[in-house]
Amino acid sequence: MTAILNVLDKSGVGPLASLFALAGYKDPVIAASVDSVGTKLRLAILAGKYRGVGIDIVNHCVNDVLTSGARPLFFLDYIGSSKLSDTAKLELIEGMVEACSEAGCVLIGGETADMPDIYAAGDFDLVGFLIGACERGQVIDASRVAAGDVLIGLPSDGLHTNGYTLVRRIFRIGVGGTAAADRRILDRHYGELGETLVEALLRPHRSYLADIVPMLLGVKAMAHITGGGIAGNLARVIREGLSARVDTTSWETPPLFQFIARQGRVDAAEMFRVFNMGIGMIVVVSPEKADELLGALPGAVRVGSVEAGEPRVRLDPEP
Amino acid sequence: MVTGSIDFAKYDTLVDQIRSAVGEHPSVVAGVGPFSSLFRLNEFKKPPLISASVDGVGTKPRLASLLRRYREIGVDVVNHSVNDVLTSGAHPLFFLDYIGSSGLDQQAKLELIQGMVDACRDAKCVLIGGETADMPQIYQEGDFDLVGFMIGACEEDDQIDPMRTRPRDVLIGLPSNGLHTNGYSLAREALSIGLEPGSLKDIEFLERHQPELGETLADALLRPHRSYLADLTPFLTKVRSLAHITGGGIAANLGRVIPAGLRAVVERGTWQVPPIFSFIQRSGQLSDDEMFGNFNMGIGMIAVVDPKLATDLMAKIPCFRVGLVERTLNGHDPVAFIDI
Repeated sequence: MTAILNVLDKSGVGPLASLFALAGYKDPVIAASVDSVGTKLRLAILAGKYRGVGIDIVNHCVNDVLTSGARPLFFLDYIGSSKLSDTAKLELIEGMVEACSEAGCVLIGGETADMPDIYAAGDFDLVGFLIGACERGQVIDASRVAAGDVLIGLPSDGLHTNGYTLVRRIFRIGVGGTAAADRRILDRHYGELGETLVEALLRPHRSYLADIVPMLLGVKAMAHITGGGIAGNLARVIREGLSARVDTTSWETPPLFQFIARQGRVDAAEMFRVFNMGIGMIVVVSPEKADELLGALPGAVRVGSVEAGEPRVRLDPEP
Repeated sequence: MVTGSIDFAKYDTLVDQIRSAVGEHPSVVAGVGPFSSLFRLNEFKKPPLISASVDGVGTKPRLASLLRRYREIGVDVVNHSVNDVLTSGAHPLFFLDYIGSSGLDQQAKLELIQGMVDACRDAKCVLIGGETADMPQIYQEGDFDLVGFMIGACEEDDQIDPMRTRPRDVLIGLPSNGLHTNGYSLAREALSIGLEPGSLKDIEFLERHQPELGETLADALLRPHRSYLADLTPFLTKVRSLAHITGGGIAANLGRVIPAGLRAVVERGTWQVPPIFSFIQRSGQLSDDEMFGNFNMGIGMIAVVDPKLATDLMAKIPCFRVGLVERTLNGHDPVAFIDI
């Protein structure tokens, strides 16, 4: 709510750029992140469900900005499309506004481009841009990660926004069949998922902001598990000479991932490369701090530790 | 077995190449590579106002792909954002980009990024991060969309407030150097340039010298969006408002900065419409209304200024006096055209 009060719109005429007052900081550092939803959009388009991907794009950015210790201030979106209905655009924006409000930030501007030359009718691309800030002294600096530090994994809510190209190929969604055939595949209820495939696949990307913010002090690094899976993303915060050992038996792989692996006969190594496998964020903390975080963060699991050596990330046992 | 993983070895090289193209910048705490980029705000007396703008480049990429000329599109997306941020009185600080595409090769991406890096350097800001998504499910082979996000800042007292606009304020038009980034779908239709990838007929037509233009259509159409930062910086705290003339032309964009009770009267004929616009108009037999509703017609930015500043601007930067602000009844269109 504070953020919303910072939006300046005194003129009352539609501005070309949005203005935001950066008040309340002594020595602010600005954090910025740009993200897209990727192929999940294709499923949303086929299912005619747009609100969820609106939430996805904001929460993906919120988590990215959070990794640097910053809190979200404001968000801008870009919707490139062709003949996307007003209802669809409104649902997208509703989703974005809802997620922004959850994150205590504000949707401050955006751009909607109608480009039939680039996009097929009803298709679109969605890009989000989030600005956050923190005091300079509170920037999370991954260079402080040391041997002995503990890796704490936070549960994901499904695939978040990665691995959808593979999922579409496995379930043959939108690969030349009719729209009705695609809908049949998506709407099928699976007992082991306890829901339809489309419900499981379109569940929005989870935001870790509310859980982590009270615990930020003492966090040494955070890896947002997106494209490239645990190894690809955790490696980005582990410096040379250190090796993060992830115990792949320390948490239970959620049914959705097991289901995908079986349906597509995808081997475990590939699953770990493409999907988050149930862990959406990994927080690196000192051993003294670990118990406090494990107690305070809902669903948090100790998934490994940092050692001297290489490679940067070792999955153990190797999937 | 089905595979769907991304070639991260390739991705890392691209990131490395981007990093080396961008270089070092004193305010960047964390640049291209991590989950989010960090930028230090200094040089401000009080808590600054942050200005943000997001822009695409419309269907201009279609031409770029056809001609395999990418660098200029990179300049376009930055300068479009630079001009937008200027309209609020802010100076650019940093920029992030998004390239959504299908099968766009690494060379093309690097050319795009080189254009963005060059334009950022000219604007004294820095490319701090970005995202590249390969989505064959959304984009056709070789197609791409390019989106730019610019963050700028200004002191609170330096914010441009169009509410200070008064009757008899003067409209100063700054020349564009072509279509900038708007009207490309209509231009292509008017010029009968198809969409077939690699069409030799289209490429030959675009690369033919046009005596009327003094250059090829390719050069005229792909000329990068002009930045008005250098020309306007000395006057930024003194203007009443700035209208960046983009989609919808002069009427739509000038209308956004004219407060209720006033209207801007634009005098057509006070500036020379560049030949590329006449060329498009004749080829597509378009009406004046269609032309003015889709293209900038040679004016890329309009500064609304008091009469004294108008004289100053006319003496110091290349520009035209293109009209006046007058009082009007509420409910009237905020922009009117007269022909002189």
